Parts: sequence; structure tokens; C-alpha cells
Amino acid sequence: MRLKEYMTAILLVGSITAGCQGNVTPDNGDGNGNGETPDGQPSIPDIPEETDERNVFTVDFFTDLRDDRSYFADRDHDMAVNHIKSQSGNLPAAYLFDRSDFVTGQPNPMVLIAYETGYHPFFVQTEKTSETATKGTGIVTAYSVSDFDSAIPAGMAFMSGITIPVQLSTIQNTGIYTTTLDSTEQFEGIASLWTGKRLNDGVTVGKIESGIKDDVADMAAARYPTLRLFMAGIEETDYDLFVLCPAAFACRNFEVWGNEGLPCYRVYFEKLF
Amino acid sequence: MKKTVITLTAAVLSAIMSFAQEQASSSGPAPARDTLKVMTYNLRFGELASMADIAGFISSETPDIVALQECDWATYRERAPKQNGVRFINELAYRTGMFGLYGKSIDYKQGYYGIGILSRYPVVRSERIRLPDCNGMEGKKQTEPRIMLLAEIELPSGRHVTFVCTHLEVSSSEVRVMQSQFINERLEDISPALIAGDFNATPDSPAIAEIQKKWKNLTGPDFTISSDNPVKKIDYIFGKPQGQVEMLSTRTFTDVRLSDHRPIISTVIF
Repeated sequence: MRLKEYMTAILLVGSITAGCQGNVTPDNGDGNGNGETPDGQPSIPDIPEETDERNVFTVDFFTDLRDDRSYFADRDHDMAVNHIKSQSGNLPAAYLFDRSDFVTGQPNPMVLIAYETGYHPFFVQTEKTSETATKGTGIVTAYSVSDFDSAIPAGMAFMSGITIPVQLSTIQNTGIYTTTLDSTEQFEGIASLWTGKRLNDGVTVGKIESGIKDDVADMAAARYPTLRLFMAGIEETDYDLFVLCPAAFACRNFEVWGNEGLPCYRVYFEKLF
Repeated sequence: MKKTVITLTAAVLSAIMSFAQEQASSSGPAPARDTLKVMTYNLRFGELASMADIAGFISSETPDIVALQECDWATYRERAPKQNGVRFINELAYRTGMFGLYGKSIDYKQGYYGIGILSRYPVVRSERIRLPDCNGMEGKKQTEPRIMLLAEIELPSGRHVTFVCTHLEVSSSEVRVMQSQFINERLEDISPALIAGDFNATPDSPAIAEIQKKWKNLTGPDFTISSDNPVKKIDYIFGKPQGQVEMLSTRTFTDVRLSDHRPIISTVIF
């Protein structure tokens, strides 16, 4: 882990998190955490300063924050296997592998990783299925999964995720979704899925093209005030880390994780209510 | 006689013209159709063959989608010691190069017992759905919990097909009929769709009659169990909409002894 990258990431998360907490009013008591600003705009409660560690879970997102090649183009899947097997204590709820492309007739990296770890594999395509190869993100999890949802909203953003029983202070069925965003239209599509309550309660972890980050932040503040958006960039990458969730969740932190050859971002979530 | 022939010819010509006009009036090109090679195979919890052997057989037939039943996930059975700790679907996916999806039916022997799907194409949505039974009802037979595993698959043509794997109740005809009715109702609005698996019911049974109210049989009449001395057919592949899906070919493998069931492969167009 490069310290410079780590510090950049933490600082960015800090500033964005702080920015998301402005202009909000207390919960209106409907149990959904939604309130209303004086001008009638819906809003959501502040994220508490204190973290309830019992309700924290993590997601490991393996990515180069680029989109020009498969994550495993120059890496052996064994590195990911070793990472997963080396974890102990409070394990990540899921491991996401950006650009684990699906090549028809060849073993998908998720299949190889799942075979060697004993986990359940899933594949989230980020483009239309092709006869030969389809871009997408892999998910592996130790949980036996009941649902694997997908959505293809306006702007052709692909978003899919698993719903798993995450052990928090109580066991909570939690959706963990992933996507890749290249346009503000795609963000609108994703955001409307959350505000339209068409997804299981949970979080989205993915990547966003760096050039649209500011526009998306403006759009989120103006049109989707009941969602919590977190973005954080690493120098010299084409994409930024992207996290979007409803009011019941907060992104508490993330760390640049993994080792030199296996860039990974560990995202810490808290289920607030 | 001559007059009759002329009358008949006129009638046939009229019918042909009417058909041609009907075709011409339906605007736009003919709807796209996809062809898939679909397999179903009950593995009998791997008692009779290794995963390498089963994967070798599957790969040799190059199916697009496979429905598998009696699949263990890290169990420890006395009857299949060589499969102890094996996650069937993960290993078969690994060995065939296909993508695997597992659905747990029950906790069993330190692991799970259930069904699975292998696919050549990405699965865009999946769902594990519990089938109904009479468990908990007074005076009714208690049976093993059953599921169906649903996978929505996006094909290279851009069309989606829903593929469902299931394994119905073995000992109660009443429950099987209930499960068939549930399948029909639950998948009523999903089309095109294929459902494959071990239905534990012969072609003349009430459960299969129920299924065939909505689904078209895409397999032949050959017996599927037992593999070495077959006496009945209980494994099937069905498709819908009935008027659109067609079976181009089918084969029940008479020479494969990797399980107590015989595998079936059908090429279907929809």
C-alpha cells in the first residue's frame, strides 16, 4: 500500500462525507430516516458521529480504477485467492472484482476463485452480452445467496447485486450491488432505482468515470437528497471509487487495501437503522 | 372428377393467397429466434462418478445451459466419501469453463444439498424459490423441502431467456401436483422460459399433466431411470410459450452411467 494513495483516499472520503451532512433536518419519525427541509425538499438525518461497531460491515472492491483491460489480464487469480484465504475475524460480506470479464468457453476468474475458496460466484455484466467476451464485475461471497438481482435502467448502466444475510447486531438481509458509471444519465438510472425502492435494502459499490464526478455530485445534491453518495479518487486513474446508498446506510470509511500487485479498496459501511 | 380437381385447386390457391396476404400485412421482419442446447442431469450426489468424469461428459456435449440435481455443497456423506467437502457446482463450473449457480434446498451433513445451473452465458438475475409442501399441516405427509432455481440469461442476440432448474418431491403425488401448480403460477408472466430437471413424475402423471398446461415438452419418451435398467421417465426439459418454442433434436443417453439417472440433451429454438 502506498501511503500517499491511502492518505489521499482518506482525506477525500472525509471531505465528501462532511459535505453530505449539510442541509439536513432530523428524522421525521416515519422510520425511514427521511425528513424535510424548510423549503419542502426531502432530506435524511445526519450520520451520527459515533460508529456502532456492531452494525459495521465491509466490502472489498478489487479494481485498477481503469477500464482499458481485465483486472486479471496480468494477474494470477491465485493472488485474490490468497487474499481471501488470509482474512480472519470480521470477514468482508463480499469481494467484488472489477473487470473480471466473461469470456465464453473459458473459465471466468470468479469461477476459479470460487473453486479454490469454496465461495459462491456471481457475475455482473457492465455491457450487453457478446458472443465472445462480456465486460463485467465478479462477486464472490461466503454466504449462500437467495437472490441475485439485476437492473438495466435508463442510460444502459448495468447494476446487479446479491442479497445476503449479513451478521450485524442482528442478521440483516443486505443487498450489495455494483456498477460502472460513464455518464450522468447512467447515474440517474441507478439513483432512481434506489429512490424508487426497486432494490433490496443495501449499498452500491463501483466505479465512476472521473470526468463526470462533479456533475454527478451536483445532480445528487439537487435531485437525490435522500441518498448518500461517496466518491473518492486516486491519482492517475481514469475512474474514482463510487458508493451510493439509501439513508439507512453510511459509508464510514475506506482504505486502500491489498498489496502492490493487487489493488483493493475496503469500504466500511454502517447500517444506521 | 375434373370439376372436383379444379374446385380443390381453386380452394388451395385461395388458401395460399389468403396466407400470403396475412403474412404481408404483418409489418416488420420476422421476430428473432435463438437456438440453445440444453441438458438436464440428476447426479445422485456424486455417488457413482467423480466430478472430473461428470465434467468431462458435460463438456463433450457442449451444452449452452445445464440443469443439475442432487448436488452437494461441502457435505460429508458416508455413501459418497470421495465427494466429501466437494462443492459440486463450483468444481463442475471450474472444469467445464461454464458459469455456475448453486441453490441450496436443505442443510445436510455439514453442508448443503440442492440443485444447480451451469451456463455458457452470463446470468443477469437469479432467484432461489422455495416450492410449496404440506409440512406443518396436520394429517399430511412431511416431505423434504424443495426449491426451483431461476436464472435469467442474456443471450448474444440481446434476448433474455429464463432458465429454471428444479427437483420435485419424490414420495407424494399430492405435493408434486401442488408444486407443479405453483411453478405454473409463479412463472406465469415469464417468457420465453425453459424449465428442466427431475420431476419425479412419469409422463402420464397428474404433476406432468399440470405442467403441460403451460409448458411444452422438449424431450423424447425414453426412460431416464435407472441408468442401467431404465423402467420409467421422470426427467424432462419443458419450454414456453408453447406455440413458439420447438425441439429441434433430443437425446437420452443410454450409455452414460455416471449416476442412477440418464442425462438428456435437447436442442431447442424459441
